[in-house]
Amino acid sequence: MIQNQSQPEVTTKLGAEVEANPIVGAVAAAAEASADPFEMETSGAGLEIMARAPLPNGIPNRARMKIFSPKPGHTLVFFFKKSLVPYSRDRYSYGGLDLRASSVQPQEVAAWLDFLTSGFHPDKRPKDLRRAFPYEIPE
Amino acid sequence: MSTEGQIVDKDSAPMQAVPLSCGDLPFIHLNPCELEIDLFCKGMRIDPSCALECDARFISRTRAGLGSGLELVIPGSIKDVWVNVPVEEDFAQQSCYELVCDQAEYWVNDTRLSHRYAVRIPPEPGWYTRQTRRGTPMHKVGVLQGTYLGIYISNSCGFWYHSPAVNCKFCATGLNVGVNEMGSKDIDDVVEVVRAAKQESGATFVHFNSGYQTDRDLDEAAPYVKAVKSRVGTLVGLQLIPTLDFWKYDRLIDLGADHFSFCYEFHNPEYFARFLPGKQQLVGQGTFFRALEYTAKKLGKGSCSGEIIAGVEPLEDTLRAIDYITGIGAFPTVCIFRPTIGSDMEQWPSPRYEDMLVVFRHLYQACRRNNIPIDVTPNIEVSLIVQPGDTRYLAPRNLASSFYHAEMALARWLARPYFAWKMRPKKINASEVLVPPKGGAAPA
Repeated sequence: MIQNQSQPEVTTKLGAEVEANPIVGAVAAAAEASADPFEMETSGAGLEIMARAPLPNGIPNRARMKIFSPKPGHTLVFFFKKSLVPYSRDRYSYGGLDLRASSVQPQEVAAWLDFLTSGFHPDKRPKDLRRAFPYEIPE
Repeated sequence: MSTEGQIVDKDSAPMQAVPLSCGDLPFIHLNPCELEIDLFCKGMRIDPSCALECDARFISRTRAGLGSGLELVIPGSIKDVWVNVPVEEDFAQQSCYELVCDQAEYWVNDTRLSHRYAVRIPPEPGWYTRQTRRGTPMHKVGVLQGTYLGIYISNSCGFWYHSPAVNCKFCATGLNVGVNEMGSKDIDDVVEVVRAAKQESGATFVHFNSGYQTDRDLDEAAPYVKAVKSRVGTLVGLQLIPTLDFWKYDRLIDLGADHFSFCYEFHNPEYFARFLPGKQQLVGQGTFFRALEYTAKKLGKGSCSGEIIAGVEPLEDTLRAIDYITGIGAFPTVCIFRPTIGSDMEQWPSPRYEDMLVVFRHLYQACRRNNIPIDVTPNIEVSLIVQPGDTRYLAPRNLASSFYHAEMALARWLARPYFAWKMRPKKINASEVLVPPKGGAAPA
């Protein structure tokens, strides 16, 4: 489920992003239907989803996924962790996907969310993940 | 263990050991180099009392990922020690060390023993937040790692784009470009940033590195070397995948290159093959050795370095590597293994302090035995590694050590005019397009 979906800023952000990109809608619906908790970040470009359940070793899950369109016909799905240092702008990439289609299969989205929930465990990497992902990623 | 160190009472000057409370544990007084090693091994937590957004350089993971930590300086009687302390990785979240701020001064608390070490937080250079004339944020062109400027010149590393990927298992280079770092560096941007770092931060050394560029590595670096040497004038070092086309090193020296370093990481060939599949398949460990031997001979004792990682291969292999590197007149750059976020080795344990202490004591002895110049070049403090000069804190107190230190102090004094001359901009006639010598290249 998306824990903060009822917040007005989340509703507004989600509405705008879904209108701009149908893939965002598919991801949001899958996250909402999932038994695992997620949250959405409203600041910044694109839609950012965070896994919220702690990892099996008790450490907080820092995994995030950003979905955005750098140009028409491309949707980038970027997996990353934010810095733990409060003032740092650094992001730690775990790779990404460059989608050229306007829709995705449900099992693909499920794999992304699984990867997120696992805290980016190497065994859960999505099939087509590009670890070296040389795109400019907006904040 | 040395009794020189930095444990201080909060109201006193550094150098007096004043444990607040030792509990049941024995009082362990770490000198600056020992503390540096332990911080590399254990990392550090950051207490909310710290105002790092005002006081510190922002953290930026670039290059292979080692620079993801917090830069701090441990003051000392022999020298101040710069260290880039791991703060982001999981192991750092469980560290016994904690950075705290008390009345505008920073301390590293050892929570096991309830005593603390005075440290300084180097401020963010003003140029970090400026843009070049082309509009590029300067911190995305290069960053200070200690007191030198590190610049990753090429668009990531070919090992990451090979199919299947053959990236080095400890490395995060391929994960950074586009996220924290520009994909490719414009020469004018680089010149502007180097000039700012020299004028405003007192940087004397620029270190260019790149990942695998399909044996075009040295060719791609050449224009940057010429531009910096002719338009700014700093010492320039290159850390590139090596080649057996040794004439390319000659041409780069003609352009002004002062230093070459070779990251062969593991001395044990099995570890080299296992953890560095790209270097194994496309370069070969022998190429690193031959290129290091060639450039070390060409540029002279202490000018070049062999870079290795300690804490993964067996200890005796690391000691053997140090003996080999110093034996050919190079200096050892030994990185303490850091399981960086996102790398294939993220889940590996950080090395044990006791093992690393053995490594760096050995490093000191090897440098002294081979008379390798340490800390002779002005103002080069590298925060990502334990520098050979830092290991003077680990030296046994005997005549041989005293003589070596006196010799190095004299060398430092005598070399001042030479380095002042080296750091002036110079007219360079050699072409930045590397071409083999007339009559063909000599066999490697």
